[in-house]
Amino acid sequence: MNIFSKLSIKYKIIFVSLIITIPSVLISSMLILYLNLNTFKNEIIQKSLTDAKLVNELIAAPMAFDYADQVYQIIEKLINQENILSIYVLNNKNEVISEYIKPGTQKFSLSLRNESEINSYRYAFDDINTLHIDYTISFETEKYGNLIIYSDTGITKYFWHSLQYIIIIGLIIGLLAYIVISRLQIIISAPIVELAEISQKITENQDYTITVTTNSKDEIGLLYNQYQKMLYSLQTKEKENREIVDKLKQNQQTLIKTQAIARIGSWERNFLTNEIVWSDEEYQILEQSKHLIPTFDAILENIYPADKQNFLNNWEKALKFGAEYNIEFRYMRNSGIKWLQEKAEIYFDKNGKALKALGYTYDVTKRKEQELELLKHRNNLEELVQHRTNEIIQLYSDIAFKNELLYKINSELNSEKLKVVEQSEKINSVNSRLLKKAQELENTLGKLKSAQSQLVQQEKMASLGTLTAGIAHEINNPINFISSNMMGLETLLFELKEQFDNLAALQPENGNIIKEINSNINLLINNIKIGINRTVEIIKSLRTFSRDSKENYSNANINDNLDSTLLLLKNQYKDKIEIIKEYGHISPVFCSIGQINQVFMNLILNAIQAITDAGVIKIKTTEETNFLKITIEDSGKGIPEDIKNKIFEPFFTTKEIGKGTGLGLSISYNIIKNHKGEIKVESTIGKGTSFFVFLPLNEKA
Amino acid sequence: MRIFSLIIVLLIGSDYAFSQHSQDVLKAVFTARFIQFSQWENEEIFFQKQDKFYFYSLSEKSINNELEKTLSKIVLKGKKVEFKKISDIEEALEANVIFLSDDCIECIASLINAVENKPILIISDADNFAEFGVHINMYITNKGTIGFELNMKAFEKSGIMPNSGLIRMGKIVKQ
Repeated sequence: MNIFSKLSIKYKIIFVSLIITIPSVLISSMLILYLNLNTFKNEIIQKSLTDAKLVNELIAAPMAFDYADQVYQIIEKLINQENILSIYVLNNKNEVISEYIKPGTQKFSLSLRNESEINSYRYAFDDINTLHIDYTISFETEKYGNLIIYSDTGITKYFWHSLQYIIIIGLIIGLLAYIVISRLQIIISAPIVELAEISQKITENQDYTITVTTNSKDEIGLLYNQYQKMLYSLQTKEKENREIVDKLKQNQQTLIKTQAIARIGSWERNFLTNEIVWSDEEYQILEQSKHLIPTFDAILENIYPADKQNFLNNWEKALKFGAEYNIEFRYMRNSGIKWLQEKAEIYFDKNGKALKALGYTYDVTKRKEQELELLKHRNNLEELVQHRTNEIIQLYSDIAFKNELLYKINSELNSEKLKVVEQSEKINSVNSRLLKKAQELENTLGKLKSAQSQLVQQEKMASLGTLTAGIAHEINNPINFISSNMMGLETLLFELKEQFDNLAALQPENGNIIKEINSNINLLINNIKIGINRTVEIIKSLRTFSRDSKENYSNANINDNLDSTLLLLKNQYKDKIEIIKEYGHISPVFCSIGQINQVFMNLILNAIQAITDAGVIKIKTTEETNFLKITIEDSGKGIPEDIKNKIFEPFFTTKEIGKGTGLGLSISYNIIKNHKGEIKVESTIGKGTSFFVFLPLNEKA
Repeated sequence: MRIFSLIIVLLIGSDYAFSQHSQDVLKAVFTARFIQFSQWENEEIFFQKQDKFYFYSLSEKSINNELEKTLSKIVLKGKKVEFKKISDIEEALEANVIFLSDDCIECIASLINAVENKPILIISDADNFAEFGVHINMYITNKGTIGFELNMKAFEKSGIMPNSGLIRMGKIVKQ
């Protein structure tokens, strides 16, 4: 153990590594050799058994048929294999049918025969190098004989061969291990040696600026990094120390200078050694030679006699009772008497024994002189102040009286002013509210008037609707009655006419009269028929006017409806009226397409009829909030103001008698109302009329 | 020719110089071996349904005795062998193996036609029977030994497979 501890790290690493490596290599090599030998042995057995099995399968048929030639031909195939020493094929009577013995090989004994039944084998090692397999030759349930194979395993040869390899590999591994370990120890010990050398250099030169670097990231790298950090730390500390020393020196110089400027001297008194240390300025203040060794007595003997006792008492109090040492005393030297102030801090041990005192001495002579002067001035000033104060008190009492009077007058004025402002504000507020109310009343009145007018119009329209519906219903039955009887009457009159014609033939003298009567009958019948048709037409219109059915409602694109209507009316407006379409991107409307088409038909037809010569009809669709707006604008003659309110009334027409029923706009009004929409008109005489139809969007029946 | 060969074989004192009886014995053994070394399609399932292994002979010759003797001692395909001498081709359809000799020359055509594509092995010992459609036909070689020939087409049709050893030892004929 002692020898090992004396070895260098290099040899320790090499020694330990080789101690581990060599036995490991030896043991593992032996293990590998052992396992390889076993594997090799098993492979030989398996291979020989496979050969034997193969031969057995091939040989079974020739054996069954006793074809010895065939048997030999099969075993001949095995002869080429190097390891086969001899092959014997025996029949069930133990007679050798076929055999092969490798030249130079002894004939083996056949005593180890496998006597067992079909499909079995035995194997044994006659010696380490000779494997003996005995395989029964059989097919299905029948045994035909035995196949005996002796083969050379070559285990000894394999063993020596493998051993040679292992030794060579072992030597190579050992050599490689030595090289690797040597390199490894260099990697480990070289940085340590380098660090040791650097440390020595630092110690010798006190140079902490040296840097150590390595690219290694391992433990060595860590050691270098830590060493470098330590160096940085030392370098910083050393720099700090140097700075502190410099600063101390500087402070000392500053202190000396400051003391000189302030004329403050400092001192230290050690009670254990009775040693006293003065600063340069202390010598100056005390006017003592710098060669003098400072003593307590050196000060004491120069203190003004009247102040000596006080000086000593102060020290005594401070040392005995820990009182503050702070004293002013007079000091006598060559320059005369000067006032000095001394202040000190005394340090005691645990037992209360004074150890040392640190203090300063300050020449306060000037201050003392100024204080005396100041005292004198203060006394004079106090007298003056007293005098002036008395005068001011008198003046102040006068002012206070006057001020009180003014305050009273001012407060009365303020109170009056506030009252006035308050009244004014109230008047303004009432005034503004009155104005607002008046405005609101005016607006409400306007709205009421408008609403009243609309209500009157709506009520009138509703009453008229009900009335016309009733009339239509009442007239419908009689007109049907008249119409059907008219047909019968017409037939009868036709027959009567024939009779009249016959009569005219018989009475030529009355022929002209009869012809005239016939002609009048025809005319009357036609007139009656025209009247009936017209009445039927009016009733139909009236029924449409009063109908409100939600049947046939669907989503419609109004632009398409307008186009369809325009197409139907094309013959009415072509060549004389220009149609301007301004269709917008509009949403579909849930409506009765037929009824809405009828509205458009009425409005456009009116527009066409309103234009006598040439003109323009502008049709515009736009989508507004919740409503679709359809504008039909013509450049016709316009509607006079006095009849504008009547145009939606049933039977109101400006057309010639017999040309219009006076129901078109009434029906349109009702249809739009039933669709929860609105229809409005704006017209200017001579300029034209605009009808505005509003249909609700998102309206579902 | 066969007799002549036999006489020569007997005269030269060969191991295989044998009498008709010995020949029959050997042929009977060979026949049994042929069956052993032939494999029926799905053999195990096929013979599971049968109680016995049916070996029918259409031959009228003396070999029948040796066949019966030899086959009665052994088990084929796990079954005891029932040997039967038949004369009707219809009966032959129930057999697993049919044995023919040269005296069956008149009926061979109708037999082959009847058993075609059926799993029935036909073994014979008559000249050119293999070419005609018999699976295995035995013959006496020039050396006086028993040789045999195989009709692979017939094997293929019946779904029976000869062992590779048989194929190697036998002579393959063309049909």
